[in-house]
Amino acid sequence: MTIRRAIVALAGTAGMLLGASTASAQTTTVACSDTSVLPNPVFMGGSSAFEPILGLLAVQIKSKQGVSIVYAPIASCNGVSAISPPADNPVAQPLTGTAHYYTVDPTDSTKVVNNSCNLSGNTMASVGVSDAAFDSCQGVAKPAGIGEWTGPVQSMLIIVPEANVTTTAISAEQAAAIWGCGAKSGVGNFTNESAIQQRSATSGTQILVARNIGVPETAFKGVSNSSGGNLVTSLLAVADPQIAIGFLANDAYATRRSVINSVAFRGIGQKKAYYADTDATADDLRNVRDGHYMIQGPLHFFSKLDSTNQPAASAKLVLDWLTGAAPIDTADPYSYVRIVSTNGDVPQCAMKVKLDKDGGKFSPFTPPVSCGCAFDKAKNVKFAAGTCATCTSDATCAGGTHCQFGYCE
Amino acid sequence: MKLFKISTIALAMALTGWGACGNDSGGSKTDVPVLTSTGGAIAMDGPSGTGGISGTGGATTKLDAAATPDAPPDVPIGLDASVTVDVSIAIDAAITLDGPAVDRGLTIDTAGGEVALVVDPCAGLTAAQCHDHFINGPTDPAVSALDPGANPAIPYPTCSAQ
Repeated sequence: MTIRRAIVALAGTAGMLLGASTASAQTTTVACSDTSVLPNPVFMGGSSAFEPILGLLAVQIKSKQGVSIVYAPIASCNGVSAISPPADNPVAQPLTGTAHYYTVDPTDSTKVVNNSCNLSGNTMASVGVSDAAFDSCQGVAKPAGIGEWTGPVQSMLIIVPEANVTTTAISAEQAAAIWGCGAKSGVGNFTNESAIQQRSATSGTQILVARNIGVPETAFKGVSNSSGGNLVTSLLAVADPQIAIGFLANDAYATRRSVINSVAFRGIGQKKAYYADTDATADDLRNVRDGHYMIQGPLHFFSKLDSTNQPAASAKLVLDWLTGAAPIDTADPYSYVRIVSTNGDVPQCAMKVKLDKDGGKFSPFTPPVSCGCAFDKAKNVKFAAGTCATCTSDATCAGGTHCQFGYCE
Repeated sequence: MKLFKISTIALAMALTGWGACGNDSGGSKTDVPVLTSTGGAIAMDGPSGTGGISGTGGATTKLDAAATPDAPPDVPIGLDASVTVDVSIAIDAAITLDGPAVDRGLTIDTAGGEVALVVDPCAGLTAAQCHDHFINGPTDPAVSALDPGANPAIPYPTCSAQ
């Protein structure tokens, strides 16, 4: 079977993807510009933290819309620079090396395979993806001519190896000492800089942690890692699990719960430490949705705008799909909420708060179309009494609520 | 006289958010206020801790209860609103609910011919107060709230100078 035939065959099973996850197996490397394998390609680059969910959405986009997402996980701020070069290096920054495209895992239809393809030398990204805001990456406001869209909300977790069952909570001040002072931190066992894990200054994950602990992302102590997956590998390689600590995006944590533990976080000005979830074992992101878990932020998508302030048509389609503004599968519009929710992020329609900036202040957020009940349903969370009445249309909902994905919201 | 139509179901549903006020002040999920509407009158009451609003009917029903800034949890929430015919309810005074355990910012939305109360928990608060409301606000008892312990002896950036 040729690669093309394999993709066609696998695409037919894309609709089976429910709470799927990504696998990192590699297959034959092809040219990213090979439209026989990757028809209608849209090139993107940026956050590695978003890749698990992007891969799942990309498979559905390919299957239902015939568009191929080609993604270079080059870190958040490099994704921003790929769309809008920084002032200190104001030259176009094409994607180089290899990128990923995504297919259904032939051995497990609930998973996605990250395949590699070779980029040509002049491949420019149409969409940049960042966990952090534009000004967090480049220190200045987003210039005219660059559009920004926000997507699912990510949460960044402090993590320790699963064998460490005594470190259950950490304060922003303690985290600042660990990552800002390293060997001089004086915080418990976390004084060995070869066991303290960091990402890099261009990592959106690191920037969101930095903004919440008051340490510049450029000043972090510890071992640098090029991706969240590599960080976990480094963390678990530390001989004494009691001295190892790092941080990771929740969507990457979601598939690694058996080997690492998340640590409850008490932010600056906060009285108690909270997990992203209700407790250490829950998977409901309740404290992210209501603002009790502070290390969080929406994904930021960037694209160049034309003279009418619109992105390229192909980019616009992808942006609408990735932000949930338009359904990827018109026959199953709930699939976006389901995929995002069950794989560790929160679609904005399920959020109750918003931030004014990275590490900033929370304020109330009422989405134009709410999906809180659908989110809980996707995560098998029990509805609160008197909420989430089932419905078939707006006419069956009371109190000015609307029927969204089968529930009055 | 043209009677206005109030969907008591709508009100009761909308008050789910306010029911959370009951939680905040020590009540339980069952403390959602009960609303009734009879011939242009609107009355609402709830158990202690969830506040109470009451009014008597008429073409221009006045819901008038003293605002209680800095109210402790068990003091009734104040609301000053007027009700007119044609299903329009206009709040004619700022809602000034305050107190650490009471949600704030009730507004009334009559869109679609139904009355709904909308809770804005940050009405009247500064951005910092609003932020604090979310990061330190009450949670369900099931939510783990942990104490990380004392701060380290050598915090950043002090260590950088050593």
